[in-house]
Amino acid sequence: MISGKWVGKGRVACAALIACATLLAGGCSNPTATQSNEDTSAAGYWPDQSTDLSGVNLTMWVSPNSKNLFEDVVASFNKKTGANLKISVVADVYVNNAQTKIATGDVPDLGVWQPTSSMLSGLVAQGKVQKLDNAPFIKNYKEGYADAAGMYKGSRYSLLFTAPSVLGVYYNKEVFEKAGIKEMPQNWDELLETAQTIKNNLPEGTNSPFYDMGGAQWGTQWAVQVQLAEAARDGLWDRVNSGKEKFTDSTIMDAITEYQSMINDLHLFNEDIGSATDVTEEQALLNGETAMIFGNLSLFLGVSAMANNDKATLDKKIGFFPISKEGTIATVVPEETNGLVAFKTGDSKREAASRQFLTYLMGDAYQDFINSQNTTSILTTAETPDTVPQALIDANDSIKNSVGSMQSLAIANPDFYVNLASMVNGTMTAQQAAQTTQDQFDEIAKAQGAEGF
Amino acid sequence: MSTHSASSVKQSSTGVARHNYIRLLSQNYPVRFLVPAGFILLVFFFIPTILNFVLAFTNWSAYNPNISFNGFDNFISLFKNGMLLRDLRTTLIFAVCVAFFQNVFGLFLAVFLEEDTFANRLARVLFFIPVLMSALAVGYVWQAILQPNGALNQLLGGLLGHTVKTAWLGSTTWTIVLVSAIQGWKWAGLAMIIYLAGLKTIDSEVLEAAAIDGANGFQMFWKIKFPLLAPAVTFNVATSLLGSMNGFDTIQAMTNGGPGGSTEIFNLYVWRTFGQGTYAQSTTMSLILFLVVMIMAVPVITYLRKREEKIL
Repeated sequence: MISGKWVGKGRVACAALIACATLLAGGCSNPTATQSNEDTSAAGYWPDQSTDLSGVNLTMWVSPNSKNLFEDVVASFNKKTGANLKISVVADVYVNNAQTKIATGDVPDLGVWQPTSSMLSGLVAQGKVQKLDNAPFIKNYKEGYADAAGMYKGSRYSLLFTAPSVLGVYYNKEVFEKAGIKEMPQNWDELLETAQTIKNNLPEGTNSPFYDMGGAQWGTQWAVQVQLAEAARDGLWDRVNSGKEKFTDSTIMDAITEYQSMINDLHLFNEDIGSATDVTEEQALLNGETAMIFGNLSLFLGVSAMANNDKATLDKKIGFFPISKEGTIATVVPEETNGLVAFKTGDSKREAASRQFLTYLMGDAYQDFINSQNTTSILTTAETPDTVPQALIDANDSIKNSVGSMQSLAIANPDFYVNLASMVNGTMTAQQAAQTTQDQFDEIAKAQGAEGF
Repeated sequence: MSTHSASSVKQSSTGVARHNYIRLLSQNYPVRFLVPAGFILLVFFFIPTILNFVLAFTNWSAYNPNISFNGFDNFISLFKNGMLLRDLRTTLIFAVCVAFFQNVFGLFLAVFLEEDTFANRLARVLFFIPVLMSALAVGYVWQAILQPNGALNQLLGGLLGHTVKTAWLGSTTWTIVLVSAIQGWKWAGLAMIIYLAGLKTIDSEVLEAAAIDGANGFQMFWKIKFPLLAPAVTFNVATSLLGSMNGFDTIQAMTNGGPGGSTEIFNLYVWRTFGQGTYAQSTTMSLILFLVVMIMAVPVITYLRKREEKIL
């Protein structure tokens, strides 16, 4: 009996060993990866917008920032096709949470996604997203937009549905006027002069020329990135991508130390920069507590929402100008609120339905969509509504003379902003912020199998 | 010989009894009863733990369709990176502070609410509510209260008669202490219940004798009650200290690791790395955290146990 007991234990041990061995053997291929090739030009790959989809259940992931984007268009799509497309909000930080879900095998049909190569590379490598080449609406893009975002290694994987976010300076027109600023700065030195003039003539109620958010962290990278526009045109990110140039080398390092000196030596930023958030930044700009912010689309939309999206108020108060080190090159950073990806679910009917939604969004629904979002149209088939605030029109206009940001042009998107926020708070030196960012960049580049890492 | 045979008869009869007993046991409690629990334990505990050890030595990532072993690569690059030690230190500070606050608050509440009056019972319920609340909700609520234009500053402003704009979560030195205190506050109700249970088991005769001997309230507590609470102290200190090493939610909601990374505890770093798609790296980090907790747990629990033995 006793020996029998041991036999029993032996069996359990054997089973456990076999289970582990199977797991280890199975562990050789990434369980979340699927591979397949698709012919995007095949007949029927892009279904007609009104194809009947009765009984097809679809899910779309959106971020808290974009939770209201598609409500109307999804409702009309469901009505038109009989599909049951549901919107599901994934909590912030969206991309981290979405990646985590995807890694565990939880994949939706559609999802908002930052349409940049650094953010698409992982999804493409795992075979998670559908190819969107040859989509019927691509020919309708206004000049410059078709290739502005959504591409990875020559193929389209993400749909750009609104103008990508532009980095530049959003300023309070009333503060500029009170401080006697009439000419917009035409390069970095002039920007600093403008800031100094405002600091010397601070209007009542204004606390600082600039405002930034060390608390919410993510905005801290814009002041640095806009300084890199010329370098980016000269191939900075190609050199970084191949390991030939580092964040700690002079180009990026100088931009970081310049930002640090604007905070610590020139005192051009808000006193509570360490703990300030995006919301307080938006309030400060709208209320004139600050003259300028280094902003992107999200920040402007926040300001706009605070002004009840009222064009008259926004046009009176808020302006935009692009800026770079030597001139006025804008920096483009497509956001997750600009792009949609269609995931591979393994169900061809649902995958086709997802593509049909994209065609519908950029087709029959686009004018209504643009109207409801009150933003500029990027298709020749739809008109920009006349209620779009001038600052947004100016920002989107500056795309003509723009260059990609780190997110667009680098192969990896390290947590640069987290480290810059640490620098702003004095827990890291500029050198440490650059080094930590480079270390993380190296890790991701190595994981991608990039040469030079 | 006869003695020998008698003893062997006795032995064999004991053997038969044991044999019957085991047969009875296996009849009443067949091994298959263990299968459901065993399965859950296997799938949700053993396999992830084993995989944690295995995957830490691979190049598993969001960018690679294959997984292959890469030796100690992940460990080497992690230790080269200064973030690992910084975040481990932050985690230790957080855990020690939480253990301190949770136990001080819990013990304080238990002592003051010991008597079984209606008011005390109501107060116990109220102080237990934070334990049941979602940690994220607690984090968000406190974040709102502690904002420069939040409720606390408004209250202080009203009392002091001028505007208060203190950024309570803005200090790179003290924010970690503040978030620990809030985590301690959240779990204090649990510590209170355990300390209360400990207090209730103290023999009233001991206290009576001490009272007759003329012990005052202070002596009564420090010389008698507190030493007799040793098992409760062991449990509370060990669970709060080691549990907080795995903290995540409250800090994520309150500070997101800021300001300047000063509250970035280890799990936030693990999560951030996972979100970057370098899965093996973050698995390596969890393995390191697991080992650190194990290394801490053994001496802490041994010390507290020894202390109990000495007292009781």
